[in-house]
Amino acid sequence: MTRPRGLVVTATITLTIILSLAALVRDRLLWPFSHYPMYSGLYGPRTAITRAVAVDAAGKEWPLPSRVEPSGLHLHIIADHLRRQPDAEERLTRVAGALGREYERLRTIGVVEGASLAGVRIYRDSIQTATKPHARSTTLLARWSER
Amino acid sequence: MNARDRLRDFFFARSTATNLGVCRALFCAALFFCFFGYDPGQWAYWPRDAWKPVWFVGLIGPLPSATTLSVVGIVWKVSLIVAALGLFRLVSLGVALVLSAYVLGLTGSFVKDNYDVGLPVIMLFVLWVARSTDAFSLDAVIARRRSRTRPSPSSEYTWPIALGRVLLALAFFTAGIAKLRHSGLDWITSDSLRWLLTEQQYTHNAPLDWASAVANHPLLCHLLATGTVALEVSYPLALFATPLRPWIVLGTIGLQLGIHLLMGINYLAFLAVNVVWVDWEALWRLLRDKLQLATLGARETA
Repeated sequence: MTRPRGLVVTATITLTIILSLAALVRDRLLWPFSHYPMYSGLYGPRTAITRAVAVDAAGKEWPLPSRVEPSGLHLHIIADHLRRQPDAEERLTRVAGALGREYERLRTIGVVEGASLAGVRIYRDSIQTATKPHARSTTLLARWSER
Repeated sequence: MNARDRLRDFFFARSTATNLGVCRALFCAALFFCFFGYDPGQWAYWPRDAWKPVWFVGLIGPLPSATTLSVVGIVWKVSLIVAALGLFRLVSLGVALVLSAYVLGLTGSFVKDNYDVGLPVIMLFVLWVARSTDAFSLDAVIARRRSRTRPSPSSEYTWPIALGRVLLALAFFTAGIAKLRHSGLDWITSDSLRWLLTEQQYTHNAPLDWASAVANHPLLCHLLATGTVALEVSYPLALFATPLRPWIVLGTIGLQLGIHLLMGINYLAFLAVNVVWVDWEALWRLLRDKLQLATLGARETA
């Protein structure tokens, strides 16, 4: 190994290890170096999920297909983040609108099947997992109408 | 041998180019298959209110159109295949590295951080710097046709594999420390894992519907939590304690596969980095010898 090549290799080793340790010590993401905090918190007997549903002209609801992103945990995290913003209601309504447009786009190109929607609602379900069956209470977070 | 010599030996002992070449080929091919169905064009339709790019993605600028992102995705996958074949290392792995940092960075650019795709990007950087196509590659075939010489054993082929192992060890160690830092021993002694497994049915689609059944056994949950933290925190021992290595490495691979099956969380790209733990050349020799013995035995019987 030549001297310049040795310097490049040593710099690569040192840099990657130092940045990995920096993410660990600072406990924060230094993309692509991570502090790997997944599931490191404590969980209790209650949880919450966020779900988006399509609404037709008659007010009938049905769940948006999982192909319409964001869904599941990602939608929950986005909704949680937006709820902390000063204009939360407006932002959540825009997210509901984006989901509705994405559903219609996928429906038009035949990727998802379903009826045409008139609007989208986003709900938050608080779930008690210690009870059997699990008790659930629902709050409406946002509604968007195509009109 | 003092600590400095051991460290030098760990990173810079001489080894042949084949093992590194096989690691590159398998790792890049694994990334290609892991992300075969991933179209970065999907992000163009995500709500703009959720746009919160990681620094590298932000550096490139605003989110391009769906078509542009899809084309980037195709170029990225082609670069991974070319890198797996080992052709034009600096270009193919360079493109694979930059585009991986971008398209995988996108997965963590909509409010929700994505922690497990960073290590594959770092590993691509290591393979790009390393002389990873000196063997088991089209570059090596072309070079041999020109000069008809094979690369001699060198420290060039040891440090990338050693560094990959260190990065894996740091990743798992960090994950273990994060649990102890954020929750202390309560992560093991409380019912936290039990509740986590219970709530998975609402947040993920796991391949196996067993999480709730496991959650009904608190002792099993405590054992799993203890095993998880013990494996993660002790992972750096795998670097030097050879007898412990298979237990720790296979244990954490099992842990990640278990998380995938029970909780529906996909760590497959992260798992691909584990190719650095296998001595592919020795494995090949072993298999070849066994095959030769079997062939000889068959001939003698005939």
